[in-house]
Amino acid sequence: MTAQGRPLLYLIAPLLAVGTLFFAPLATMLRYSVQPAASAAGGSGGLTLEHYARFFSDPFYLSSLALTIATGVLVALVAVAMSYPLAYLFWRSGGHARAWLMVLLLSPFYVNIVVKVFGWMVLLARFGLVNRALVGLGILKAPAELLDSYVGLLIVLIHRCVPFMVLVIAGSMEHIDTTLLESARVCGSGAAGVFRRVILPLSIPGVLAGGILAFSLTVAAFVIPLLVGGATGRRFVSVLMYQSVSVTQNWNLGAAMGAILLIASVATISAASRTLKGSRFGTIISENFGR
Amino acid sequence: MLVAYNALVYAWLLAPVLIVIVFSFSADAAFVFPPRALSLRWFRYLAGRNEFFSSAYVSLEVALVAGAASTVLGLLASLALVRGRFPHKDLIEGVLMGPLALPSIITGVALLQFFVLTGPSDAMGRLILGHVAVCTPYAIRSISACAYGIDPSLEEASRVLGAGAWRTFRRVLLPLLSPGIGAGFLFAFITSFDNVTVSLFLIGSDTITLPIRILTYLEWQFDPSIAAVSTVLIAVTIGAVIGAEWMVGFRKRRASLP
Repeated sequence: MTAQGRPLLYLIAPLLAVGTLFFAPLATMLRYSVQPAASAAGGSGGLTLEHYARFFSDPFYLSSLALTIATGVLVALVAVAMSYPLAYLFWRSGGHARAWLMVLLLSPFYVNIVVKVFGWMVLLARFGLVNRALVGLGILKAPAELLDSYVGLLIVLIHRCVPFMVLVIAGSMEHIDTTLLESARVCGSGAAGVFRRVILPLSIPGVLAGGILAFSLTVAAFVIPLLVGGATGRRFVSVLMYQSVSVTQNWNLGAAMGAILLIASVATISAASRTLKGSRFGTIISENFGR
Repeated sequence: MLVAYNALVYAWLLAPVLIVIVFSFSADAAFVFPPRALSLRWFRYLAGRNEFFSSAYVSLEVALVAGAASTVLGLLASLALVRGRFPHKDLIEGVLMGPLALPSIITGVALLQFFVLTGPSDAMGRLILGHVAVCTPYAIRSISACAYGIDPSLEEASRVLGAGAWRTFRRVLLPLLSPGIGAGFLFAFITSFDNVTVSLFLIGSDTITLPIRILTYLEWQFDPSIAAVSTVLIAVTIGAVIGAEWMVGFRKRRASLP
């Protein structure tokens, strides 16, 4: 009875666990999303798209969805621009410097999201460091309500995405054949030319995958929009879903929002997965994505 | 300029974590930076707060049980995935890793709706089962990474010399796998201990985990006592990560001996 002999015997318990504790719950959620509101849990009855229709016809939900998606795009764009120089330096450095940069990049992953948000609440508070610095530098006349503002929300969302993005872009730079850089030099390209003509085009897959990942992370973000960004943050689809399920007890609508997030996640992740699979840092990225 | 920019962004990346650690040792009641004096008053204050203790206990209990269960499941899956030959292996591996691919807020809602229909009605059972779902892939990762590094000929040698399957497993494979099992348990443990979004849907009134306790606290107020709890949370996680890395590194060092 070795693993070589009867691998399927070994797989029974793990498959049963992931089946009943992951796939069956997802199926239940999807079923709730197409069940008529009146029918009791598990009751029979026809299928309906009324909950989806309600979501997509109510201006409140529609604008919330637009806000969530637009924020995802904005965060992805800013995070790409911010992370690219970090990925470049990481790729170019070696030995101890690289090991230390890796530690710096990974350390935010191991700090609880609630703790990170708390740190930002302290920094962005009315009399926090950021406000004091901005007033001290003369950029602001009086402290602003950064914590409850959209800018505050963006800062914290971007903060969460940057380490992922750096690793994804650096991973795609690892595939660049360094002899190409030398040949470009030999053929007369300056440093700027090498960067523009060789490095930048070859790192595009990483930029795209990183952008998709940041979008995906942001659209399904929950703790950050719940605590930062005031009323705007609380219009994120994930927060509305939570309120629907836990506060107003409209499980069917909550399930429909869950299904929409599920579809968005599956679509974006599968779009980025090929690049991530080929990446040196793919494991690290996927291990920290779901948290 | 590139280096200066990098230094600035890395400082920004670490700023919220460092500020929390600094304020947890502050002697002030408000968040004044830099703190006028350092003290352990917020840790002492915590020691008198029962709700944080009971939450830490709940988190610890859930993480130990869910971590152990995930490790057993991870060991079984890894043995099959690394040593077995069967069709659709990639697909099965993908299925087992499924929970990693989704933001866990979706898993959380789905688990709640599922458990209300079928499954345990007590919150502790729900929490543990929910955490097993999200922790098992981490255990599979760590254990199978270790198993890939073990030469199958060692097991064959043991069989040729007359040891049965169980004895080969216990005397050859298990000792070689133990660093992977340890690391797998630690990663599953911290994944559970740190979880927010699955717990949020599964907690009951007397099974509030530590991260959820902090989250609900932050919705209404914040003071340096939260900084102190946060520092404890950071210390537990970093301790576990270093422990896991040490176990894996220990094995590598041992393996590299002549």
